[in-house]
Amino acid sequence: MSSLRRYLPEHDLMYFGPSPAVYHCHHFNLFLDQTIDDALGFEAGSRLRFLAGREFAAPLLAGVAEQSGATTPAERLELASKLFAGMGHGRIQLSADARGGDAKGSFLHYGYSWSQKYGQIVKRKQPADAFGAGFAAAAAEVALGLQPESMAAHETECVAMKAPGCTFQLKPGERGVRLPPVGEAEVGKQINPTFNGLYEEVIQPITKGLRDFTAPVQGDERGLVQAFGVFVTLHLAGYYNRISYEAVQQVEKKAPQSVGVLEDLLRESGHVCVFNTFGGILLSPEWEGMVGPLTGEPLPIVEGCMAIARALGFGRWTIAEFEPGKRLVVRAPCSYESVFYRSRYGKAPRPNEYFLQGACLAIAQLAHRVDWKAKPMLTQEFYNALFRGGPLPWKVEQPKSTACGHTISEVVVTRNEGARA
Amino acid sequence: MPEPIPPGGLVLEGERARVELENSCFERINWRCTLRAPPGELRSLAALVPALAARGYSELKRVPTVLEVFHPDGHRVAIIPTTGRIQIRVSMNVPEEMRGGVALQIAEELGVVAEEAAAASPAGAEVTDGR
Repeated sequence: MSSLRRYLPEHDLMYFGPSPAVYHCHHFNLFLDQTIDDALGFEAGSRLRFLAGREFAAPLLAGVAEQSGATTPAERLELASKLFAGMGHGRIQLSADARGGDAKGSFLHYGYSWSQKYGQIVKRKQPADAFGAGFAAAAAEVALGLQPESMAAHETECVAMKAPGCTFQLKPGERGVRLPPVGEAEVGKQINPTFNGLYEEVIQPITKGLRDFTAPVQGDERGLVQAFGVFVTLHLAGYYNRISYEAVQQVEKKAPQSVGVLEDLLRESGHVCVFNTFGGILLSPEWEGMVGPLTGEPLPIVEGCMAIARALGFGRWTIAEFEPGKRLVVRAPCSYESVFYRSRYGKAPRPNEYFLQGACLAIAQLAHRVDWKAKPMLTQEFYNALFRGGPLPWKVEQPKSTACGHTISEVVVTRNEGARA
Repeated sequence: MPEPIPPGGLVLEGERARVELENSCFERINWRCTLRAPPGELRSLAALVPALAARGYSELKRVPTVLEVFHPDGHRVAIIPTTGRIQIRVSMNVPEEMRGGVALQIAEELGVVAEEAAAASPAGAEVTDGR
């Protein structure tokens, strides 16, 4: 597993096998999937999530199968199960031939973590594992040498709906539309010259330490990665990007007045990630061992967050300016969002690295509004108080984006007039 | 359903240790362990690791600054020698309402192990527990 993970060290982007990849936690994963379903409705949302899972799992599975010499269908299905668990997505057992088949899952990341997070307070009526369905369909296509985008999969039972396990039915489906690939070669064409920012002497060693720490991490006996107070997945960047940008495009066509709401929610996914994952890392004993106890000053939090973003494969986030209490400017030569957008859609009409925007605002909030020395617990109540308890004290703007053809991506977070920082 | 976590946090006191609830993704998984009376002859918290291994724990080596051991039942103990922080991570297989008790049991075991390790170490060495 760890030998499949590679970084572009000067850009801090990550590949898993041939596929652009990042780490994200279950809080982010559940929030983003819910955002897509809220924007499009469950049927269209889950279909998009399935299509994205299938599209981006297929090249990963094909590439790794070739690399590892797995040639028979049985070997390839077995390899797919191992990869799925190794990436922290749970255990899945696949059985398929050209006429279809089934898959049985246990501890699937989406369904299981949804049931853990919401199961006692919300009754879910729809299955949660569209990514798992896409992965299973892709596994069947690759194992059996079928045409890409030809296998359908439907989750018939899900632990999020209080079933004892997750079950998928696979059958040949309507051929999906083949979209331009976004793999290593395409990403490579979209990468701008890199650069450093302020405090690199602090940020770079922490980044390396985090990478060393995460390198051997893989799914446990459940196929889950539990670390830093969250369930972590090694995930396909194309999945996140396709569902986000296609949802925006669909809403632009059908309900243009709602695009702003969706964009705000995509930015909020950055808040969710930074609060839970970045915050969990900062509070962890591992951080204390590698970096030292938190001082409560804003700058070490901002420095630390840049290092965390890099280690998670989000891109080379650098500090261009930081004035505590007033202003944070983050620049990057590219991000996992921008390289995808340029590769698939060409130049963006306006800066649209939503995750980067939201994450930078959340970093400012964590740096100034969290009493780290008090060792807070990162609960939903605390999140609501920080990010939903009225107008935020910060505003975020993105004047430059490599998705638009600029040479850098730049996000500026400034304190709102009159707000307490 | 366990009692809600009080706003001020959750602390459980034992004979040899206390545990305090820390941040975790799901309720009551991570507990900060503080050993009570420092056994005066334990040179370093790192000495706990071989002593725990002798009791059936297995050591996981990932980064040199963090010592980790696995309890046979799936719980984990992370030790930061430089700061003295000890975190007990209770297995999610344990029902939520029992996790605090399990954390305290492990903390008490750590207390026993620390005393034994101190007794076996050269006289005059100091405890490095960060307090």
